Amino acid sequence: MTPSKAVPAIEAVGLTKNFGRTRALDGLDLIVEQGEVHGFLGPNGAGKSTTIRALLGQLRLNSGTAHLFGLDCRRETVAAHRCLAYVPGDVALWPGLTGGECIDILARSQGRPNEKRRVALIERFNLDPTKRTRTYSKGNRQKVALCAALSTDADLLLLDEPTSGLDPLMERVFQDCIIEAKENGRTVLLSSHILAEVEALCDRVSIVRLGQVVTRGSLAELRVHTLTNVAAVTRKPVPGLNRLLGVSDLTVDEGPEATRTSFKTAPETLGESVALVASCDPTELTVEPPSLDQLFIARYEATA
Amino acid sequence: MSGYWSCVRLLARTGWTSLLAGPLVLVALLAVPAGQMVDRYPTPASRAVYAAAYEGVNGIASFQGRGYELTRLGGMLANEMGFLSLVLFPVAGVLLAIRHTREIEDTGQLDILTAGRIGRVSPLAAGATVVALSALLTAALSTVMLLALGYPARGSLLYAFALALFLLTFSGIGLVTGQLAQTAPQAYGLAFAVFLVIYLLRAVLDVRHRGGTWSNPESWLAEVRPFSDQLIVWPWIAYLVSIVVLTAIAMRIAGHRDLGAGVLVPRPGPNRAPVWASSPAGLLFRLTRGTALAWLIGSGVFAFAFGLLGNDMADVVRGARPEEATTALDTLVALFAQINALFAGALGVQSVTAWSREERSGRLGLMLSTAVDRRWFWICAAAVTLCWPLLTLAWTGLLTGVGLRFGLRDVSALGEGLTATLAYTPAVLFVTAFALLLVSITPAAAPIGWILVVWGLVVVFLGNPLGLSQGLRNISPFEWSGQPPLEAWAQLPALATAVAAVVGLLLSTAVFGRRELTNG
Repeated sequence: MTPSKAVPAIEAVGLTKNFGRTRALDGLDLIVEQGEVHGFLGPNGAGKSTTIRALLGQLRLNSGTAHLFGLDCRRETVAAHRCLAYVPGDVALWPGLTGGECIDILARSQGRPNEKRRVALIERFNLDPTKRTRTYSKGNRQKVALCAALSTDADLLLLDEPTSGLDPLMERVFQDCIIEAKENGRTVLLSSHILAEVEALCDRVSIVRLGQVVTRGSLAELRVHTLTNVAAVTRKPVPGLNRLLGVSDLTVDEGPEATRTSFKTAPETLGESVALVASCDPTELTVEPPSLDQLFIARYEATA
Repeated sequence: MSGYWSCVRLLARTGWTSLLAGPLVLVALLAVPAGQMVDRYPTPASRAVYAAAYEGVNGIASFQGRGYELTRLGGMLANEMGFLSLVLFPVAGVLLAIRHTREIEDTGQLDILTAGRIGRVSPLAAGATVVALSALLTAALSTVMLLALGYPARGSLLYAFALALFLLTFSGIGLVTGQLAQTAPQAYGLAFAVFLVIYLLRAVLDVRHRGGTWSNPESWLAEVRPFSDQLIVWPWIAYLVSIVVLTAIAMRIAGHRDLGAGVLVPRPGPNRAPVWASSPAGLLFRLTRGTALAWLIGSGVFAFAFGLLGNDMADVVRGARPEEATTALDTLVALFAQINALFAGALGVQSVTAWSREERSGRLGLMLSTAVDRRWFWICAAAVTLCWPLLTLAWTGLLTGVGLRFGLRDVSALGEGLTATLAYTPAVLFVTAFALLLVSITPAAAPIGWILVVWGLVVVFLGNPLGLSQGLRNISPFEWSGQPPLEAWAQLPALATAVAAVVGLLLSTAVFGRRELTNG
């Protein structure tokens, strides 16, 4: 079944889920458009995996609705699952079966296996599919689930920390695969702690905290409100920086021949502060946008 | 061997339940016939009748081993107990040994332990030590129990310690296979295969009453002759030498292999899964068939032997207790059929328990994230889970019938074994459906399913010695529709049981379809 283009790939509205006295989801909203690679960020226990389990229809929500391609996750589970492939963060496989057998079973059960892609993925991930999975390391078990999910023609990939345990080479293979999936028009929800991975792959991100999405948007949008790092070496000291309201963390190291200056600036004082530095005969100047790590921590602290 | 004591302490702290449960179960199982013998044969005259009943009867020895001192209470106990001890003690020995060595290595705990100041062979030596302590505890408790029942002190002590050494010999085999194999399941498989060969070789020796008992550790147990007046030394030496040599072999392998590896290199498996194994029913069949086949082979051997030796056993009963002469064979066939049914019911509950682990491990969550309908998956699981016990029931019934046919040289006896066993179909369905219903509510409830099977075993084996009332016996579904051929098959209760089982299955499908998965 090809999903209608008119509906979002994921549309979760007001998801609330209590486990006893613990509120795991607290009115969480999540929209992921078709063809988008969406980063799903948040610390441990924020509700990321619970959201994914709700999207898989494995949980009974206290309130809220979840739809995948317009299909109700709880009532039309099988039809919704035909559109998706899932990779959990901690993959449990049948210990007596080989990796190749597990890939076949999962991909065929998904309903849309792709033979050519299966062969290519096993080779790219450098997986020995003839070994029993009880002898696999965590990384290899993860590769099995990735090969199974990526080898299908599913329209949506639900990936819950899919690269935990993968080495940097395999991480790169994974990123290439996700870029190809995006080029093929597939949608990806990527829950991850590896912010460099999210930065490299995602168009938009949602940051979750205590069961709610606290921030959402493209990385560019998120950066608009965050501080830029400026570092410079100038022949003369830079005057007036401490008078600019948007400048913070200013450090000045005056030497006999040169002065080292570093600070952070808000977007509104970026031009003025850099102009001040430029007027003082700089020999070195770096202006760095905030990394996703800083952005994430800044966003997180702001809402804590 | 550095770090040996800390490994022993760690194993004792983490594995004390199995180290303690093993001895307690074994002593409890020994206590039942020990008590029965005292009650049934109180006088020398009654014991002489018992001994005379065994004159010229060789067939039973294939199950019980050889009997010595059959006019003495101790000798009679060792003879009666042979039926259980020749199986239970080796199995317990293998389970304890692999549980405390290879299984611990499988979990990855040794990777952390041996990174510390712990020698390469210390964990194995510690595993062997705690198993030896468990065996010593079995011997000590058995001695106390036998003394309390009035058995002679010297014989009780010798018998209890011979059983412990017998157990430890098979622990030695478990220690070696635990080092040879790369995984615990492979180690168990190898050790049980060795046990089966040793058991069958002894059965052949004993049934033909030939010499050569020196060659088999299963024969040494009888040859110790603990209740004889003289001390026979060679079986003790044979046990001790075997234990020392097997442990030394295991230690040597442990010292020369990589951590996490075995000597036997696992063969590569198939790259592709067959299409049939990718459907829910196919997958579940694939996952359960190994255990089920082992169960079918094990229960089949016993079922056939029951039938084959039924007439011999009936002869012994006729000789020892003439008042039961007319019903002796029917009583035994009814008992065999009920044991067959208990084998089948136990496999049903075992399959459900295994299946509950699918959910707890997260594998079920992964499977149900695909386009497989949850209720359909449950129906397939229930069908596969039910097919094995029902197959076991038919298979054991058939083999008991075949055994009876050859034992009695009477063709009509074949049908008798089969129909008597198949009469328990509703009970086996009910027990399995009950376990499925529990797991449909929560996988954590799986162990409760064993209650019906355990109670069924208690009623069959301990009902008379414990003097259980009919009301208590009737809690067991295996009592609900009579015990053919001793009693008529009660059709109405049988039908009601089957209907209850079907209702339970339907209910379980509805419950599982609605509830949350405990682990996604």
